[in-house]
Amino acid sequence: MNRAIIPLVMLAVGLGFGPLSAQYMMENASIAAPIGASGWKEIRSGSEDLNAMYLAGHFLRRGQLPPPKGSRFFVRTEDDDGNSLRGECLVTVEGTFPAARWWFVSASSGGARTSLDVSQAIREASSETAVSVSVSPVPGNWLVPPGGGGYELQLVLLGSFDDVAGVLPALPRVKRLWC
Amino acid sequence: MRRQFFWLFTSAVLALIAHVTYVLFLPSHSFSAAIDVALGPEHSNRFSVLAADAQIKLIPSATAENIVGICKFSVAEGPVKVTAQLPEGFWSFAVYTIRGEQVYAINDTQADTNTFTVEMSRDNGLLAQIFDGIDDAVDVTGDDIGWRIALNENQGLAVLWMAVADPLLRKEAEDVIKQSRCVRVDG
Repeated sequence: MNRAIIPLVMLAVGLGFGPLSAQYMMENASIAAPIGASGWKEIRSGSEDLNAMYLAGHFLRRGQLPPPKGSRFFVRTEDDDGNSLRGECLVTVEGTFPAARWWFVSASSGGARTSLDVSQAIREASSETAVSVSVSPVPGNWLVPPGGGGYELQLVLLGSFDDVAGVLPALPRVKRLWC
Repeated sequence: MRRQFFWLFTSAVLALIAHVTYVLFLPSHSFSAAIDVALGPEHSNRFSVLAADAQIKLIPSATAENIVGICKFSVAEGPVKVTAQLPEGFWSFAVYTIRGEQVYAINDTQADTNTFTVEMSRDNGLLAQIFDGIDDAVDVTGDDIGWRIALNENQGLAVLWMAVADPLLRKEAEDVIKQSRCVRVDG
């Protein structure tokens, strides 16, 4: 009996570990560590190495096309103090936004996504931009997160002028004002 | 001991095969299914401008305000040509394999024109390229600036993306982009 169990267990472990490790790699291998203290993580696009396969898989398995080469894709699920981003809270995304031909900030949850782009954003005299993320109306740049629960914040740059290897663009701060 | 090592080794090989199979096939299958739902039936080799809700689901680098046109093509039975028509503004055109690998991209500043053609064909290997002269070179025919791309897969996606800064101009820009075509080249 034991003789039959060991092979079966080993085969089951092998067959189970393969897909699980693939899922883990697609979820994590394509995402860089947090950028400094900012809390933003970059999903690396345009790499030509083995990681490109996992990066493509990260998006494809969600039914999405990977971001084009030359774009920069930043994500986060927490504010600067480590609190989860939640729809019932008022969160501001503020600071100097990266120099790019086109950028947008979006909040996504459960396949739904809302966004605010550079052409819609009102910039302050100091050249900084503040975007409020809340389900309740807020004066100025207002982004409504989909649903009332947790969401992921994304900052996407297309035609980035800071697109130089090793150079990180200026990324906005994310603060929770009230909850 | 040797027997246990054999099963451990077999288990590791199975894990590796399952890992590679999962990464290579399942994500592209999920994506292909999502494209089929978004574009509807009979969409192969046809250019379609996506509805706003479909484009934010399919293209994470697009917003509902952007305009996205897609052609899911197959070069199995011959080359496919995209004739792109775009208005002035920030746009990009990219070709992906069905596995999500971006094989070609160009934007408005690189192209220096808003009307161009791109012909996609199957990569027949190095020898065929040498004898048939198929390469990625620029091919200028009359007033039409065109590019040729050889793919190592039968299916792919041509994606036109455009940022529209003024919502009032969206309809006008969309009408221009809708004139783009994606057709199989006969012969």
